[in-house]
Amino acid sequence: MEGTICFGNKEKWSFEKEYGFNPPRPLGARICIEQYVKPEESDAGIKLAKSEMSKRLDVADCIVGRVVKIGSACFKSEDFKHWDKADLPEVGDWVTFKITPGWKKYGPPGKGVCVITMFDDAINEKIEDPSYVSRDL
Amino acid sequence: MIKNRSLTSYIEDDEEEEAKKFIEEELCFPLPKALGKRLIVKIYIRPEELTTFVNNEGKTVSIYIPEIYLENDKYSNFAALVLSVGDQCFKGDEYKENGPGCKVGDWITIARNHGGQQYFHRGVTVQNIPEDAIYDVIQDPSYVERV
Repeated sequence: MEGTICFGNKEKWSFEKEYGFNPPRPLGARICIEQYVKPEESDAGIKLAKSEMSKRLDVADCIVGRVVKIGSACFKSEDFKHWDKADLPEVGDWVTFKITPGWKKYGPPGKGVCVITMFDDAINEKIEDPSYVSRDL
Repeated sequence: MIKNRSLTSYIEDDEEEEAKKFIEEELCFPLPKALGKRLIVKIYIRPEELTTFVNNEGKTVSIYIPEIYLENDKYSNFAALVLSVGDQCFKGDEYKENGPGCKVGDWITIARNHGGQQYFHRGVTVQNIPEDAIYDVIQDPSYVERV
């Protein structure tokens, strides 16, 4: 899904509404995140054609995504004891995370969305706009 | 009123026995029994027939996936059907609020390299996995594709 800022209206966003099918339901302290796909058109209206390989590299390099579903034991361990509750991500929030393997396409044929399920401690921070962040090697 | 003591499972409480019975009928043998904190799951293998359509001449055409690709599913697919849940599964603090993570009959995604052992059980490809090898519960196994 291409980025839209969610702060302020995040409660309105849900995976089911957006795509019309249920997201994966992560277990325990796991969290399911959807890949942020950079818009293919620049602000000036220039279309940036991307090869399949380049799209695959984008997935492998992805460190920004939207929270799709949160496991019931997420953010409840000792590690998060001192976190401000307002800093904890909720469904619809954009977050950055550690590079994690395990991306999968999820959805009916032709409607698949790139998602990943990871442990809550892989989340780095909540961000306002996903387009602000890109990976610096 | 529908009751489900699990937040993640798609199987309602009153459907558990029905699901077990249905799977046993489909597989034609009693389900294996997992012990302790382990589960037995059946690896999802795509149906042989991919699609059917009517061509310009009015003939019905079916497209089949070659057998070699289906064989590969056994070793690469990470969607699986829960056949048995050990009696010590989902008893930890992690599952206090959630209830049982999954029930027999649920489709799940698993970590293929997380202490699971794969073998044939009466000709069916199954894995015996620890409970923490489960990533999430999914609605339909055909929805998942490795990227």
